[in-house]
Amino acid sequence: MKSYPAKPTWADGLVAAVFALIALALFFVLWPRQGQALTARVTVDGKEVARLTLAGPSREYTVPGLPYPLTVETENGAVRIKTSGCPTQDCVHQGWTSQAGAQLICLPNRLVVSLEGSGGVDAVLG
Amino acid sequence: LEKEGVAMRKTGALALLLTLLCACAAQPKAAQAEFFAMDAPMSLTAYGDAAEDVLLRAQREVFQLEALLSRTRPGSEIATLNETGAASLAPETAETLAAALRVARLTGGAFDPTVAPVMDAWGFGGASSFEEGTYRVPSQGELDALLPLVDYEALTVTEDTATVGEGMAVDLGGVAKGCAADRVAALCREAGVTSALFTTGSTVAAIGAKPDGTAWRVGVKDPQNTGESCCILSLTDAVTSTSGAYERYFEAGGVTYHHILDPQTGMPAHSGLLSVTVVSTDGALTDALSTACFVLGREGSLELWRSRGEELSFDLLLVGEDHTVTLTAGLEGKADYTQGEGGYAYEIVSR
Repeated sequence: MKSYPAKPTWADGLVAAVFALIALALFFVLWPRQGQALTARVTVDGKEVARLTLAGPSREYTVPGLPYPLTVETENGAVRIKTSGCPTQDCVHQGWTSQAGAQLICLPNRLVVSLEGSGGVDAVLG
Repeated sequence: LEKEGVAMRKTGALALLLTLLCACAAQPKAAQAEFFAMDAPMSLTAYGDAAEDVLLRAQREVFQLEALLSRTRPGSEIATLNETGAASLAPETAETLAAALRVARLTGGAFDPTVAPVMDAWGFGGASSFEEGTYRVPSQGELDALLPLVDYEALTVTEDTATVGEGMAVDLGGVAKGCAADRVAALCREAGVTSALFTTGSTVAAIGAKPDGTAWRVGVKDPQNTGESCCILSLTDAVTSTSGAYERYFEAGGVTYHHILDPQTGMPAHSGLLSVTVVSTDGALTDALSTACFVLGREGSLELWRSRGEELSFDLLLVGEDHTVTLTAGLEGKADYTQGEGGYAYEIVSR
């Protein structure tokens, strides 16, 4: 009569390999999407109106339907509010940002550009 | 028996997998709301079974607070106070006014809730300025005529009433978002939400820790390169606010004018600081104190911290024009920065 523990067999190895593959698949499926490249989420009055990828050469996006015409520019992983017809220009003064967790805000338009992506912080003050 | 052994190992492996899956599924439910209130974008992210419910209640609470405190909304208690010189107050308004007065007294008027007439003269008076026009430089004569109206000692607040002197006006913009943060944090705790983050521009409330148990990471903007952070704070159950000259400003005649006014002079404060960040557990204090310390400057702020910081439980992060970042001792271990980064020299001061 054989006693425990029995020697691992090729079948055990197969089971372990299957589970390892499942674990690997789960890792990629369940890992938060933050791990992706930076994205600028544009909201007006709290509602999302656009999602812009920051990678690549300069691109401009004019947000439709605002009280003050406004253009967002993305370039090489950064974003800014390039032009705005708002009276104070506070939003244009904020300049470029490339930090995940940061926001650009145009209060007169009630517009927010939020940067989402990996390696960032949960929020940026100011 | 050998077959039984293999079967047992398979069962063990399956159990391990199920455990892993359960662990993944056990991530608490997240809910997020974004909305505009008090002339600022606000965001609340909450975790747990009560998260959805808390979002709705928090928004309702903030909108109610705004309806009471806004000075540009006709019929609000503060609008009534400014128009008639007296008003009956809801408990929330009385508490907010009392908090503003407390910081005004604490800082000898470096924060003054009655600075509104001067703010309006500069065009920094709030959302109405967006529609009415742009920023402007008031003449010295204009400021001289308005400065006597800036006097927090002429504002009287009881449990349910307030009065101000003739021609004066109260603006709670420097404290209201901190009060909103306090209320949202209290709502979360009452509802059993132990992990949430409330942000409103220059104020962030970290409620509990993140769902994975680590602290919330909050970046402090580099005032000279606002696309980057000069420091990252790790916060749990704390509120933090920043005031910086870079937030709102304009140029006229080759001179840059920012929006943080010295209530004594009516001019933009030039105290040698570029930004002030305050951390405490009291949102109203945090919000108002960030403005006051910007006006007081580094030495005045550190003096206040040394004399009252322990009692009031607040800490400071001061970014100076001299490229020195000063952190008070309570932030040691909570602040992530690299010496020399951004051209800044970092120092930690103790009492």
